[in-house]
Amino acid sequence: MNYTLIFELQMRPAALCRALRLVERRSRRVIDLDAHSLDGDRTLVRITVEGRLPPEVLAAQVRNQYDVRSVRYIALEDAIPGDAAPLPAAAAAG
Amino acid sequence: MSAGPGAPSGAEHVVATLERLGVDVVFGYPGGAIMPFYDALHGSSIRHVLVRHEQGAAFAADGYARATGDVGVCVATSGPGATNLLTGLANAHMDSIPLLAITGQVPVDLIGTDAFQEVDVLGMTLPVVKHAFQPTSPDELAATLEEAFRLAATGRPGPVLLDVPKDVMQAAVEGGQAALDLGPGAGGATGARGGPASPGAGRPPAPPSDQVTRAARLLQESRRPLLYAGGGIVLGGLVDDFRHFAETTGAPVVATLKGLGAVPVRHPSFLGMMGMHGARAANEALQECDLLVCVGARFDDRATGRLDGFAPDARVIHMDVDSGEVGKLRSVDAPILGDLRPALHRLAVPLSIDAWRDHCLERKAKLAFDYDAPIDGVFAPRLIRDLSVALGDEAIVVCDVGQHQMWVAQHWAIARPERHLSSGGLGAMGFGLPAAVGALVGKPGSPVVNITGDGSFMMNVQELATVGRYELPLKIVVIDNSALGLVRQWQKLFFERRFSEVDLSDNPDFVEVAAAFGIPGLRVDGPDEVAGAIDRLVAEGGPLLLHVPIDPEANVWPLVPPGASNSQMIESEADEPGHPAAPGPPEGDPR
Repeated sequence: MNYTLIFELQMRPAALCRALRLVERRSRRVIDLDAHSLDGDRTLVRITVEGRLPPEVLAAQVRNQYDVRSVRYIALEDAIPGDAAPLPAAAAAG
Repeated sequence: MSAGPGAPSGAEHVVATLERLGVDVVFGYPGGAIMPFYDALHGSSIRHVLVRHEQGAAFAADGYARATGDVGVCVATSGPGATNLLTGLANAHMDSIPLLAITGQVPVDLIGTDAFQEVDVLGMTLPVVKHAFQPTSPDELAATLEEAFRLAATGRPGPVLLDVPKDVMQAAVEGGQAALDLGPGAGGATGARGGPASPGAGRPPAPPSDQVTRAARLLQESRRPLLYAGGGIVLGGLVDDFRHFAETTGAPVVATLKGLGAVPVRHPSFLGMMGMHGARAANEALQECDLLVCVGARFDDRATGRLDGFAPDARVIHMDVDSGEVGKLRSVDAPILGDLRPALHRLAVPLSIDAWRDHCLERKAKLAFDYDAPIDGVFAPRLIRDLSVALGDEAIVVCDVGQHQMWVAQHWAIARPERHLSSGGLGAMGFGLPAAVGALVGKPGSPVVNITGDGSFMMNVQELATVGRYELPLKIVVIDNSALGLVRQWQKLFFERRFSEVDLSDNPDFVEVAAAFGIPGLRVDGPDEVAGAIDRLVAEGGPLLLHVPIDPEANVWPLVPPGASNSQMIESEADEPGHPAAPGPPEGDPR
């Protein structure tokens, strides 16, 4: 199934790489990705994947990361058309 | 940027903080970027064990941690020193071992310039550590080190890296003397199993009550419950709690490689190791149970076999500290997350399951291993059984990886999990000898034996120098089939006997190798010499190596073929694919 993880990172060395690689490795593929700084210290990441794990399990694994401050996920319709599919409004709103 | 006279340096703070955390030994190998640390270590109360390769340092710290339950600490320089630690970090990560690795790094201004012995160890270790820190100011050092240490030991334990630029270690720390003056013990060390200084500190929160209530109901409804014990039991300091739970419920128990000893393997309720080289009694019980109570395990493929055929009729209670494991591979009917101690006690209620229990135990008795099977040469399972009896329950057995590892798992009378040290998730050949060094350093009063194979032994053979240097009374048993035995076994079974690059018949004379490091050795040439050799091994006060050649054709049985269900075990040569008497390949086998 496809789902979007939305998580907030404390920006420390390699924090973004660590979290993104974890999600990429634990998923079948990454469909979409967006990240932006909240205040220079924190970054909000939205990543949509074709999942291999149940979303709550991958969210828990992301939450285990030292730099991750919060995580939530949104399960999407299976019919997300392709790599360029826009995020649903709820996910895009962060 | 160097610390002036009287002003403590960053490196001195690192050493003082380690002392304050209760660290009394580190395993390492010096080099350029880590020299300030070694300078500060000079004269410290911390014992340094000099290994002969940084991978040996990581494995030794790992063995120390497994044997003691405390955080193991290893140290290496930048560049090749750091990269040589990687396998050890991955090993600790896969098996959730509390480890702190301290690496030197090039000065801050040189990071990212491809300076001499600069590698991005922070980047390299991302997927194999719980976290990695790279402090860039001396003022951060002590707090970062304390945080790294805490992180390694708490929750689901794991390795943590502290990569310290050389100039940060050399620089003076603001107001540093006050921190140094706190002295040893002020911080209070906390080991993964509760810690030497602060028992119970750092334990995760207890699971929600409704989770335990639901699990209790499933237990009461079950007629065929089975307890599936994993390595998390020892890592969480839960061995006694699990035993109470198993004893009270009366449910049969199976274990993963790392869960062996959660109940003593001689306990009547214990059916054996599960999985690829597990006991048939264990695997068949898994296929028949109606409730699986998984405690501190993660449904690893070597334990479950083909996942969609694993325990097909069972509802699942999954108890773990890590919510990221629950539901990862098998859907769960009742998760229990957090500190499992109160849950294990709440679930410890007698169950009316006599018929199921009797059925499991009768099958176990019927399938008892035949140690007197006629065989030419030394029969490795019998050798291991006899060694286990001779060395007793207090002995710590440390394996490498391969056939001998599986024979130890099958035939050593493991009394507690922390007395059976084995590279489980990573399966890292070369683990055994340095891990045994670490175990002996951590538990100097315990008999420690490294049972290894000829392939594994050669991977870190240089650590014989460490055994010799510190006069460690380590016993080493090299089971030598002149081959990479487990790979050879798979080539025989699954690659139509094409033996590709597994011949090691040009091994050196292991007794002479040991002698070159000042360690006495003995060659055991046949079954008649085994008893005498074991007597010598038990009586020897110092280190001793036994070199035991065995038949290269000897294989590990039983075996679940790759991709097959645990119900499709093969037991002997006659069951091998291609053998006239063998059944066809398992349905859905991806080979």
